[in-house]
Amino acid sequence: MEQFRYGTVKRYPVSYAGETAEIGTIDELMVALDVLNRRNDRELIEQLAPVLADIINIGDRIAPANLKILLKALSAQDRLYVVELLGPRLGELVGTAVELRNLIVSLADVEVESAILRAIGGNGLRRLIATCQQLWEILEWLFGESDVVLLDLLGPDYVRRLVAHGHELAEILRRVDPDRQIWTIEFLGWPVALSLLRDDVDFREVLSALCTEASAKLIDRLPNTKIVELVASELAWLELGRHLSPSKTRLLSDKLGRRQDAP
Amino acid sequence: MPHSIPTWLGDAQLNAGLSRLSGSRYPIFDTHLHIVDFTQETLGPECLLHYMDRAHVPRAVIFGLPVTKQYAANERAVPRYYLDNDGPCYYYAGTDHIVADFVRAADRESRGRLCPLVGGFNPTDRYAIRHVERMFEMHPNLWHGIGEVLFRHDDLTALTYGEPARANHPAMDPIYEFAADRGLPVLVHQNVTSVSKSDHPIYLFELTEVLNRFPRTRIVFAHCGMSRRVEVPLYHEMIDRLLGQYENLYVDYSWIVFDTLICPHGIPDDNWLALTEKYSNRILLGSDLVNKFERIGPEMRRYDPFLDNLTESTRIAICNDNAERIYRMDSKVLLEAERPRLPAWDAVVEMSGASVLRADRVVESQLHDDVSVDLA
Repeated sequence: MEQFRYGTVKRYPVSYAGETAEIGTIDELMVALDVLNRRNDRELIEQLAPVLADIINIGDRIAPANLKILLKALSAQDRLYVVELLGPRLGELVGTAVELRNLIVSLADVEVESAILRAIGGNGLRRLIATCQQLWEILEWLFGESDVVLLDLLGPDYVRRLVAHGHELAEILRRVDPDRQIWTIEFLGWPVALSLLRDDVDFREVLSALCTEASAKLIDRLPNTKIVELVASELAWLELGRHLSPSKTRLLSDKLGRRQDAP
Repeated sequence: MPHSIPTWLGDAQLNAGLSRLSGSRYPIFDTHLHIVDFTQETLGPECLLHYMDRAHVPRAVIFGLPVTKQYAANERAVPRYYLDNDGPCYYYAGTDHIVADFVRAADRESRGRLCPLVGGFNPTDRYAIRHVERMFEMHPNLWHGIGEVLFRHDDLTALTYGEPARANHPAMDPIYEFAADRGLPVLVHQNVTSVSKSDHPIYLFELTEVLNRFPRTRIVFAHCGMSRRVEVPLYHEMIDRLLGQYENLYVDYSWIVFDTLICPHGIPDDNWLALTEKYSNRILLGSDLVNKFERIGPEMRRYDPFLDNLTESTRIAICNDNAERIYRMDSKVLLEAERPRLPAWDAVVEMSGASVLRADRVVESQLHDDVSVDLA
């Protein structure tokens, strides 16, 4: 952890009811909020607004931890205020995809999470999220509309670059709400999604990741010959059967149990 | 368990009178009932059936407790509950024999009202499957499922000897397979997080891994993964996502999840009402009593404010029909009736008109190519 000298930290004055104090670190801010019985958080934070990012960023390696401590301690309204205040600097303060994930995990607040993502913005998020695994580890903890917000901000072209294999697509799909799985595939584009299915393992993984409704759409899109090409052997076929839920088995049986040219 | 939680105090409407002893207004199939306490004592079937009758509980899923509380030499007071003192708990397979004897001791006409489960094994022991198989051999046509398997369980995890149990422990793999092959449900207690970590569900992935790997196994998620001092934000959203994602998952609204989140202070939460309507065929109710059968009436009665706000079809489903479907159907019938199978591979290839080489033939032909190159 980066060292700094507490004695020389730049401190900023705050006042409340005629009394004043100087704040230079997030820990000092937290104790100040505590001694005001946590009923005047906004009043103090507003006084520090112009320098709040600098206080959080006092040691760059502890900036994400500082940000998390502050946001976790605040009410939902005050969190939104701070997120708005920090704006695009949030990306710099968060620093890495892992820290963004940790922040989202610990906040568990759909509205604030969406606000954070929007504040960081598409460019900031693309700087943070460089691999598919980083993306799915963040998606895992986003609920409500937030997963759509994240994917939209990253943009379909960028997400397509991250998702290079069928198993990666499966990991993404497992971590979005089931009623957004079809939206996610359409976001990537059906041709792209289907092109990621290259063998029986890809097919099995993606099928097992999808809810029944989305599985039906996928199976419907795949010609019987393509499914046979993907599975390619009796052994893989039996393995697939072992890993499918009853409803997906039924869907696949219905599709493959009739001739391709049958109505 | 329920006796130490003020579940009955929250609803002024329900607090009114002794009528609560007679149970819910709606007959409820109790799908979560321990017939022993943490010292493996039981009041017996005559007692249970008496109170079931009084509370209009037609049927019950019953099981023992896989762990028993040690009465340690240094303890001056007799422990009855796992939290009564700091003494450890250990796995106790005898609980399944107690359950089997319990059912046999019931009068013949009443036995059909009881659905016993096997659960007396150490879920971190790779020989656990042998215990399950042995119980099915020793008591054929008795068991209706497996459970309640205790995995992550707040302080009980810390008090139990040995490796912490978890839903995705390799020792459980053959048990999940066993259950799938016989169409049996597996009732699991897997807290979504630790008592010391309440901002996100650090152990949820252990359950989802199982749901992914064993899609043919029906998992009943006891208390929706909640426990005393175990709570995380976005709970309703989490359960909604799980039920949407995994069709082999069922949840029960027993114990404190009901009083804390679903119907706090006797007031039904709108989100949970909507979730219950959405997944009405995947939800079960239970008392989670631990050998305190006289309390079954009030425990069932506390569901009334919630049930009153559901549609009739959903109410019937969660009070009875889901339990009938999951626990009561003869497993062999279930096996044949509900398990679809993929068509034979050769037929699929032929029907598709695809001209694919089987993978083994591809490998074979590649080998021949390599050999011919070598020879050349």
